[in-house]
Amino acid sequence: MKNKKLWIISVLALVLVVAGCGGKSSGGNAGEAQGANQGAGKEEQVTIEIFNQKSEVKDYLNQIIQNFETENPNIKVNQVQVPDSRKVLYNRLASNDAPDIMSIFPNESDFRTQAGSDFFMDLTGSDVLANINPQFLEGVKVDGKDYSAPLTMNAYGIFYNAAKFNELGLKVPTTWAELEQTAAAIKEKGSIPFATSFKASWSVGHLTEALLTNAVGYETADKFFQDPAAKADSDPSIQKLLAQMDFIGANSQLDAAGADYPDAVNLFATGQALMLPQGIWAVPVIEQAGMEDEYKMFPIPNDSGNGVVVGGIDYALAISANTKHPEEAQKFVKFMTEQQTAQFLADNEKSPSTITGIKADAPQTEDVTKLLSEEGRFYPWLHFNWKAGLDSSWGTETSAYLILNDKNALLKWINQEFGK
Amino acid sequence: MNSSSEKRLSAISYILLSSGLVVVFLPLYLTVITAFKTSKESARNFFAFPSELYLGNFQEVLFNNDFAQFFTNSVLITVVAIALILLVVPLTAYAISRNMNKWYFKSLYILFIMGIIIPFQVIMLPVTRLMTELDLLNRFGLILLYVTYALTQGVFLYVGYIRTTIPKELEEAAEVDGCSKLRTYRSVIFPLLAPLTATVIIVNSFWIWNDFLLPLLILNKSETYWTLPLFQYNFKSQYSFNYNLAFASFVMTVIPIMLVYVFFQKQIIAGLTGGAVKS
Amino acid sequence: MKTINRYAHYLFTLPALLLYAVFFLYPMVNGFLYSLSDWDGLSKTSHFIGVDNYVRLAQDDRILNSLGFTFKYAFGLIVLTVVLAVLIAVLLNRVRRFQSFYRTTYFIPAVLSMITVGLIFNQLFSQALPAFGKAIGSDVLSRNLLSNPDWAFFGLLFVSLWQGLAIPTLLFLAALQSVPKDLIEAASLDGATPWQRFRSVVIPFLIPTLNIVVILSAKSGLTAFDYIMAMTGGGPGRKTESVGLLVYNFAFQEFKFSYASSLAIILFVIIAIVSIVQIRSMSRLEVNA
Repeated sequence: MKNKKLWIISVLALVLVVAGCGGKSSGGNAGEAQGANQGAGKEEQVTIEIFNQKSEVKDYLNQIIQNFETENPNIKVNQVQVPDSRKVLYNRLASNDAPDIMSIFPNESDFRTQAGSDFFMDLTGSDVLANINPQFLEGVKVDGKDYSAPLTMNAYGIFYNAAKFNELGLKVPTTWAELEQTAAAIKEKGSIPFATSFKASWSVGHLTEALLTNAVGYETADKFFQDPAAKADSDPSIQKLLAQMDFIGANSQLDAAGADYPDAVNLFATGQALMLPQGIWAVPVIEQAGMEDEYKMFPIPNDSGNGVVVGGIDYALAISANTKHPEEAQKFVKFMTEQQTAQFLADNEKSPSTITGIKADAPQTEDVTKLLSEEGRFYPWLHFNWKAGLDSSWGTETSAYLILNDKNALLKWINQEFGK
Repeated sequence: MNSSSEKRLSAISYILLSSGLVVVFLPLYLTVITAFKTSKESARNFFAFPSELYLGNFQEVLFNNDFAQFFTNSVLITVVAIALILLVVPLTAYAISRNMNKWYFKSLYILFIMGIIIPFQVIMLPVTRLMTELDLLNRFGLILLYVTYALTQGVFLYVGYIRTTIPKELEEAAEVDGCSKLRTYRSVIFPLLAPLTATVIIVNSFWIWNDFLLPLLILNKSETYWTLPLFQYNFKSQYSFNYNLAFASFVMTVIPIMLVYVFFQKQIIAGLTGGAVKS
Repeated sequence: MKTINRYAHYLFTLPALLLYAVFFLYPMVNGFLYSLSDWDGLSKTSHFIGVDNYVRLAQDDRILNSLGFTFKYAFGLIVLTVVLAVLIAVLLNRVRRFQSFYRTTYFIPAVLSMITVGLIFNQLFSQALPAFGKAIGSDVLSRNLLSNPDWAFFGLLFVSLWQGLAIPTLLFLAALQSVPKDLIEAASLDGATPWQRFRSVVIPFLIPTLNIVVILSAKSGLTAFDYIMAMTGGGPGRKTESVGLLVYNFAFQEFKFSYASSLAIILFVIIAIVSIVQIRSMSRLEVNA
């Protein structure tokens, strides 16, 4: 393969030079030199690449890398963080050009498909995972094997403006009926109950999955999607979801249909809307938007009054099965799981750690994140059990329902895509 | 045709053209003023002129990013690609236009022309894989792609131009003088193509400078390869909330090309209309 | 040396042919082969499944919906581009003073990148226009037009025209200026009205330009991607999901890589047909004119 590449490049360069009657070929030569520099590292020093898919982590990761390099002077770690990273990564995997280490989302079905194709190093029983709470490893096994090192968690709930809630004498709702009363009370006082972003279809996808899980319970909801006999038109779960969506839609800002994620956050941060259904990943964005009031989070209410938290692994690393530097790569991943690093990441990222004994310093979200370790109060995202890519279509179709109110289109789509 | 109705017509022309100017300028005006505001100020009033020229957005774009590197990449890629395009495209077109009666050249021509109507989506996925396999996910690889994709329209334009404006007798005379075919091309034909060459330079420079999808696919392997549009797109996702910063980055990526346009507008417009229409 | 010179013209085409073969033809053939397989973009293996993807395409509601939108959009883009570009070119050609000023400024949008323009307008549609709409008390305008199922189409069309009109206008202007003055004078002496003069004297000179403009805007309309990606993402719902966007979504969001390839091939066939029809009918017009 290498030879073929070289051959093609040199023929092209040659032809270009000949065609140019000599001279003027600086472009070709310069480029070739770059190509050669890229792969090769110095002998005594090993360079490994970490492909990071989460831009929010980029700066913290660079600090971690610095610490790692001081401790391991012969290993250089090169972070790559690019737009549309998922597409780039999948392309590179498919073309046998995998980065040594990559951040991945181990709950998603695309990761499971790729793990099944042996793209990632099997870490089962490896010392690399020793610091990780086994409870979190359980959920991301593929065919009983560990292909990833989960590091942080995400969780979904409803942010609320605690200061304004106090001012208006509102109580944190725990049942759906109380949520309806709260929304009505907020509306009466002239504020907007929910800040939502129907234009960001991914955010609607999250919202509706979390609503459905709470409305009918995880097992029922999951079974509905797996059972070809359960038709969307007649299923009570879906009817209940639609009613709840109607409620959210009716109590959102006037232009929820045209709002993108930052617009919704902005509406909440400026105190115009008092509730923001979102994942804990919104915390840095809320801060960035200049939120001054105290804000906290409650789990999505359900009829029984003990709403559950929906979430999954947020930041996780996998090592390429074909890396040329397996030891160095493992060393780095192991470093990510050490107490000091994990604490640093959790505190800055404001997300709960999967490392045993680490607690993130994030009072805003703790009412929700404390449920992650409580029996029966935490469930994975429903789409983890769906075909790869269906989560994004689900988001598109549910947001279309919220904007266009075409109930039959949504029901038809569900029946069709879930093989009903 | 009396002169008063002539006058009325030209008054209407001015009014229509001027209202068109408003449509062109308003978005640009909003872009610039937003770049000079803090996010709080634009939340208060999007349209008002900034109360003070706030430079923080520009500072953040400039100092928190390797802006100089992205700018250099854009320049380097554009310049080298254009040089190679000028080396390859007119030469090919010349050979084709003089041998249309031979099946090889004729089919080559058809092959190139076909490229004009093939949507990039058809080759987008395979090309990305090919470039990855050839280890060409870098600036050199991108330049090769630009030269290739400039062929389709370029050959079409040059062949049309050569066939309609350059008489065969010219080169026959040169060849009688003992010039080799390459000499003839270099010293007789290529200089005569200057008007169209200007067009080709302009059209391709704008295209390469502004292109987004190809750099996204090819240069994404490392931040050090990024061009300005790629930087800007990433910048937007990095600071999804603060759109004032995004507007500052719009202004900064637009400034270089605007300067070029302001300084060379006469040549650019003449070049665009001069060569293309004759074909 | 002599023999080299005899084959010189063949050698001249060699670099171009090589580049084209490696970076264009080979990927194109590959794209076609993908469309006959079941590769999802993730797995290491795939199977040959013949024309199954094409059969599925024909039955997919989303494809039909997307084709409908794309045709409507391309048609709107072609018609408005031609009408507005000719109109502006005629106006520019009429005015004596400030002509070059107008020409220069009308061209500014064309030097900006599509991604920049898309991002700018996305912000304007979500921030500026609603603020304006509230001020004048219009209910439709006070919400983001791009999320309005009836208006998103026109919002997109507006932006592509805002940027895309400049070059066609310039081309038409040059064509207008190539009309010999004495022909027009002769027509006015014959007592032709301005409209008659335009129809019978000027239009024939515009036909070659018209040809280019129609094909280019047909292609950009049928493959529309950048603006839609930057502004509506195909929404609201799937109201503005163009074929170009659908290819991208299938390939990179929904892991139907080979299905995406077959859709791209269909897109190519459509564009090829449109172009051939256009060239055929226009060359007839040109001869008759």
